[in-house]
Amino acid sequence: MSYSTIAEDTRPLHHPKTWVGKYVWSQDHKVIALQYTITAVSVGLVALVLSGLMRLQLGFPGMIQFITPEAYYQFVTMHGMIMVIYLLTALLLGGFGNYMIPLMIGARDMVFPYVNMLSFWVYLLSVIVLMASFFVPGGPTGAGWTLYPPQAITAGTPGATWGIILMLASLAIFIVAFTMGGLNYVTTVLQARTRGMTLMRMPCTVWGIFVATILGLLAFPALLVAAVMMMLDRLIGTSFFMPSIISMGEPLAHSGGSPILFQHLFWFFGHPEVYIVALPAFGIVSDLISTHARKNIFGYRMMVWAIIIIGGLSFVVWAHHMYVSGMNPYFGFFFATSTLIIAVPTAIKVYNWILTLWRGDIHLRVPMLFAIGFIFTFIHGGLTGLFLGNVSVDVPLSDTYFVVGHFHMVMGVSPILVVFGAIYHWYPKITGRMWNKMLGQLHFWITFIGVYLIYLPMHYLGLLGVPRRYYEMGDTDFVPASAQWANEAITVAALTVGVAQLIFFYNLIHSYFKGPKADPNPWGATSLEWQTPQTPPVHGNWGPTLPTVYRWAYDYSVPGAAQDFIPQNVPPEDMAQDHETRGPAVVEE
Amino acid sequence: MKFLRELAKKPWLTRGLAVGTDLGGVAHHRPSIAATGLWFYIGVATVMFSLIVAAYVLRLGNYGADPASVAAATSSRPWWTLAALCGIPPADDWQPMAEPALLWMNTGILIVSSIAWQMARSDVRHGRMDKLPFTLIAGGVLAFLFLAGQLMVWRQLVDGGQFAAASPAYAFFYLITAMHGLHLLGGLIFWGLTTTKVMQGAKAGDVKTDVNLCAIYWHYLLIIWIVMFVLLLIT
Repeated sequence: MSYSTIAEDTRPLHHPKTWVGKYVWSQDHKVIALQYTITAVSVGLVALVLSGLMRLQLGFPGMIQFITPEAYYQFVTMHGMIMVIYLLTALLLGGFGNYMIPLMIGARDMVFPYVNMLSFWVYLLSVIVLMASFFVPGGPTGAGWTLYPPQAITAGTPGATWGIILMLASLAIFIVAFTMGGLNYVTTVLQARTRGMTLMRMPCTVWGIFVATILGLLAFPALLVAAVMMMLDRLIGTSFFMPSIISMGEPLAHSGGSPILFQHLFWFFGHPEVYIVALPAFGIVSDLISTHARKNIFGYRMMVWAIIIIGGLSFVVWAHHMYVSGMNPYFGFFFATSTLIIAVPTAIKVYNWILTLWRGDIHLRVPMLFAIGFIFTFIHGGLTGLFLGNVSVDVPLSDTYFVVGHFHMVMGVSPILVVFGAIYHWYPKITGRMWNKMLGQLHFWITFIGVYLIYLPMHYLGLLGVPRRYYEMGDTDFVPASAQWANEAITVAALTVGVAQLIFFYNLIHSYFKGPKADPNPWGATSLEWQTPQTPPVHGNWGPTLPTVYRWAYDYSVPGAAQDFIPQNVPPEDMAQDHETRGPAVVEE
Repeated sequence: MKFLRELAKKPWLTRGLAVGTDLGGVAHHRPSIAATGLWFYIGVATVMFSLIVAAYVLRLGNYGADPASVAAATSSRPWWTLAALCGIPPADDWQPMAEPALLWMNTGILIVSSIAWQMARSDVRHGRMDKLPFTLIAGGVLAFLFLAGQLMVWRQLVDGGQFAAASPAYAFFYLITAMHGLHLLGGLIFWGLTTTKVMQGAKAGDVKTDVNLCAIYWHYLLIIWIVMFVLLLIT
């Protein structure tokens, strides 16, 4: 294509006149982003309530009558699936991806706005199908979020009649929605960047979302195939995954299928999924840290390369989720090695975040607090990941609370802290209003300290050998009575953190109506989304002409510059002075 | 390689507009937006069909191994080794499926459909807009004929008592043909849009990309079908 066809052409943007056209059947990436965000957060709240109920059962067994063993497993399953896919994936890619990509690369919209709109509505359909499973006979599936066959579709598992069918259907629909959105994101990044916005001038946020989207496009087909095959096993009696089984004294009509095959397909999707969530968070947190430390991101190239390398490696580590499935030892050795290798680029990122903070002009505003909080939780979750990446360590720990503590720290809490930080960071741009600082800080400290109170003891419980997935412990010799006290304390902390999120929602909603008007660029950020002519940006984003980009996104505290930041669209000749080590303001090559 | 060169740049050292920055679309040719989208979609679909093939191969189990070596657990079949490595116990229940003659005819129809698309491509390139509607309609109708043929194969198999649960080979056959057919149906939506444009008298330049991309997609689905068909034939 030529740059001009998409960039200067305002024709494809049909400006809607009606309220419905603007806010319901909208093709504006910003509205679609908010639709995604609101849907994802709403369904995430359901999952949060479910986790509270699970914690009540674990901390105070039998206190609440309606949490039967069946209900408990249904809560576990729905909590996991909603949080990983319908909240985090949808929010980070459908929400932040949609909002940020066109604004950060200087485009008017996504390249396929109509498909983008369809993507949201199909996503909403998948959420509705999933939620419907709460209301069908037998309730939602209680197979665990990994949906392992044969138990997922065998009588005796909660929701084996209807719940599992709706779950699989919902996943398939979600994947269709994601593919439509994902094709949009990658094509927009590759083809609709504004003049001067080379790939290496893109902010880390766009890089993270871009690579994560490619991962999603290549990984979700595995889940689709697995879901369709399991659906066929369940509905028309094929034996893709179902071996010969005697169920309640009667042989089932299946034979020869392999549950392990499902595990391979599931984790071929499932491990990249971790990075589908993590890479956008990595990218966003890089920009947050750089902006609020008034310093360029340390090792920008290395950060981009690390994102790409992590993306590539994430496809060859999947079987580390299956060490206890009885695989060939050499197979396990290979995956342990690749798992440890992936820690290298990840560690580079962590060092670079810390080195960006080093001697920076750190402003501990609320987004920065969350970004620094993320570094803590991510290091803790990442290090326990190194333990579990080793076969011999994983085997005894695999079915304990150690694993629960690990993955909640690394892919639950860490991305969520980034999401909070990102929402506080971009809220003034998105709404044109500023949130309340006090409430923001209160929200951070309760959440940050709270998650440590929740997940740190879980590692300890795991080392004691407390098994995960259990509805209640009962009398067990090797688990001391004090484990129950830890469980009670965790529950109290979890409920506190859960309720404390009301502060966040109150802050957002109240500020939207009553908050003070926000400056168009309150943090003094360099990237393009802060340079829009209007705040919040209007349909078409940029007014009559697109911005031209003259520099990378990290010109902070440039010596001799009038301000401590130079936006990407400021031409070099407007800069009176230049730093001696930077060389003359030449044109590249 | 261009991508790797790009990744090696040091953006903090250079300001201003880079040489080669596209200032108006004349400097160099880049693939169209729709083409980028299509190639990414082809990547997605390739992963999906590859995973189905992987599952197929892993599910073959002891098929084709001689019983003595199975007893000694040293089958020389490559898929057996793969399955053993993945920790999948080799199954014993694989039965080759009947190969209805109709499948050969359907394959032929899909090949002709792809040829028609290639002709349509050539028509657009040479501006033969009078011939274009015929080649386009031929391409689409033949694709519909292929799908009808596949449904007839299903009908024959079901009538013969070979529904999906009959044996894993049949289960995969229904899965593969359904997935492939759905992809073709998706392509036919774009065929409909393109043909409508042409019928309403669009100029060659307006439909060139559409026809090109549809043709590429058709060829892609033909290749996928041939790979899948060969897989069915050899096992």
